[in-house]
Amino acid sequence: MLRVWYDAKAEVHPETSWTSLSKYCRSAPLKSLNSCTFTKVLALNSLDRHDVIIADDNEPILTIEQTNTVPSGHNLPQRFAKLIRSAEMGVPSIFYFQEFSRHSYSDKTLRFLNPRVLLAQFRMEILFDTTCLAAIWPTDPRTSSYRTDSMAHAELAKLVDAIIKAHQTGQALKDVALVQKCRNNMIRMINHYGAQYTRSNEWQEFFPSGYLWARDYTARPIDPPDSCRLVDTKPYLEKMWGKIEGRMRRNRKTEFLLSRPKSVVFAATTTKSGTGPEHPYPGHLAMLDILYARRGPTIGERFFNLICELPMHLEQYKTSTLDNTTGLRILNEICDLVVLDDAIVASGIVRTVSAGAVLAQLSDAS
Amino acid sequence: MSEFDVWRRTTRWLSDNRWQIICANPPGGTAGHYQRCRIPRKDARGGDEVDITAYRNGVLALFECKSKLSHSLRENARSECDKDKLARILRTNPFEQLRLFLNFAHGIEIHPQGVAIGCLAVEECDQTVPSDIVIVLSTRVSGVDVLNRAELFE
Repeated sequence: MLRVWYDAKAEVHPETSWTSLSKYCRSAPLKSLNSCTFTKVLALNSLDRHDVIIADDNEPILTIEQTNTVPSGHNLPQRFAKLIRSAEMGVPSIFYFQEFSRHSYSDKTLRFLNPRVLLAQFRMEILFDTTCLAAIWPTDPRTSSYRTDSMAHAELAKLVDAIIKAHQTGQALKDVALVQKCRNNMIRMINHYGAQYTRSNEWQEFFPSGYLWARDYTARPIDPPDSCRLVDTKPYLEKMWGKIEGRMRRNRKTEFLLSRPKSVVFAATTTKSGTGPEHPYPGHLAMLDILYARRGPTIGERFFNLICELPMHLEQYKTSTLDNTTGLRILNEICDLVVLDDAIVASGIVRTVSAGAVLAQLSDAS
Repeated sequence: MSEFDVWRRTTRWLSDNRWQIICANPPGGTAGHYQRCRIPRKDARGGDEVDITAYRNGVLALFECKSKLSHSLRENARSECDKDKLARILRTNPFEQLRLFLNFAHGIEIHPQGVAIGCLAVEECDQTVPSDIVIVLSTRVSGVDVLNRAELFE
């Protein structure tokens, strides 16, 4: 039985969403994820909750992430962790956002999408052999804001229907005309917006022609943002250990980290209360991992270490980790190392190399 | 009835009664058929989100929706209840300022002569109704009733 699972009812209710335009979804039961007992549907939400999951009993068919925020900066990447979980589980996903728009409440400057999101989606298709699509929420040319009329979401509804139909008939998604059209549009947007990016000196030095997976379809490089540095692993770790404990310890965990000569370091900030990373950073880091660090589908298969610098204290980090906050849950699962103000903590695959998570700690930190 | 149901019932009632819904934020999610209601705030990043902003005949109404009145009067993490939030927005943004802002944000033309009011939309009045804010009762049975200052909605 086809069901539409939701996080917030407004995102699937026929009066407020695209579902009234979908042949399959308008008659399907709308169910809150809070009441779900299907294990595969629940497993999709283990990193972050999906907006919409369409499932045939315990068989997820499609996940949808939708947003009407302006598409620049962190706004799209911050939602990426859930797309990764979907791809890891072999479930096709649609990321629904605007190509360009303006803030309704500040200035009238148009903001454009971040093409790294689309490149990372294509990279996921290769890593996980799953369809990852970006569908465009149309912008009203009169107001430069998202369309809200009754037919605004007709294209999304058609794409959803085509994917459900393909699932039911056993057709491969790559052969579905609307999926091909969607992918062609993604390529167009990568080429169009990628051309406006200037190179990062750090990455240009190491990758003169750009990183293999982060180039548009005319081979122009699209480097990571300035918040993401590429560093030599050994001097970086020695410096960080020097700040906290003195000399770097040599053990199985540090040897594992040193086996990768380069590391990607991402600087995050914490929330005002200091209890965890500010909302956009973990999802953004998850996207950068896929695009710039991965060489295989598991977190152990990376070209570079993935390190997050998070300005918080170890005690608070432990408390928030036990509280299972979304941001730290994502960081603890995907990162190799989290560098705090007063400690260095192993996470992700590095934590499993040998016992113990705290690798270095200031002597006065309890 | 959930907060979303109160919100949905109120937006539907306003539309049916010739109110122009300028913007509306459903609880917890993205609405595909309404612009977001965000009013800039000088002392905080991001601004204030209001559940519904609607206009008719010189009345600009800002709504906050909850299933019970006691929830609307309960302080949130910022030590502010919905009633106080609306009062603050209206105090710091006089009608003329809101009119100009909504024109800038959504291209909506509002007549310069008018009044801005705050309204709490609820399904159940489980507390004494405060006199300094309009209460809109949204029920399954009778649709929507305006409990005080009903003349603004006639």
